[in-house]
Amino acid sequence: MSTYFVLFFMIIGALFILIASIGLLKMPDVYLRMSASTIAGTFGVASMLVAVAIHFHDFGILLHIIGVIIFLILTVPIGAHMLGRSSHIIGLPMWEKTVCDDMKDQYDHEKHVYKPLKKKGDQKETLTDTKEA
Amino acid sequence: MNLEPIIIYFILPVLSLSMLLIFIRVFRGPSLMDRVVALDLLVIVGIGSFSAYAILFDREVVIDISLILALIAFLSTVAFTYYYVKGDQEKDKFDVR
Repeated sequence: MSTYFVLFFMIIGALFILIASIGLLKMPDVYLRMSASTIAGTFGVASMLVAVAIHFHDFGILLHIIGVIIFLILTVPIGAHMLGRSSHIIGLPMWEKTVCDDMKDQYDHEKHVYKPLKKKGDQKETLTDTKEA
Repeated sequence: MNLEPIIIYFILPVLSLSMLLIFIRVFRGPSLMDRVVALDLLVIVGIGSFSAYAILFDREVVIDISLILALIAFLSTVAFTYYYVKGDQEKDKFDVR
């Protein structure tokens, strides 16, 4: 009976990893590639590790795998956030159909910090280059 | 029900196909950040194939590798991004690139 569960989780994990790699190949932009690869990849590998935990039927391995899954869920979004922040600072181009970029021109390239947000009265100027205006 | 033929004929080929697609992105990526994202996903696919190996040959010891691989993936991503931004900010001082 547990063989069917192992099979189910293994197949789900492999298909999600395949979806993540297809998204990494086909998405038009570095930010979209990052979002595709991190979410589906983390879920796929967590599912495959659950399959290993069911197959071995041992408490130590279960604890080990829970640790690995929690570590992945904690660290993969942090890495993706650092990648997106640094590629935005460097100024990598976005997809041409991107609607809105709120952090545009917010980084001070001489002091190497983000500028403080503008007050309410100035916000009309920043919204003019998006589609809502 | 026997697990071995399904792992050999379905799971491992799917993982190899996704590794091939990731390597296409590594070679074709227009910027360095695309390559860093692709290598990050490649380590995750490596964890998945190690777990398939552990089920296929009944070796529990292989599970220990997955924790180390996850740690190395996170640290390498953070180091890549940190030093890439540092190098971009201080490229006037050093004429490296």
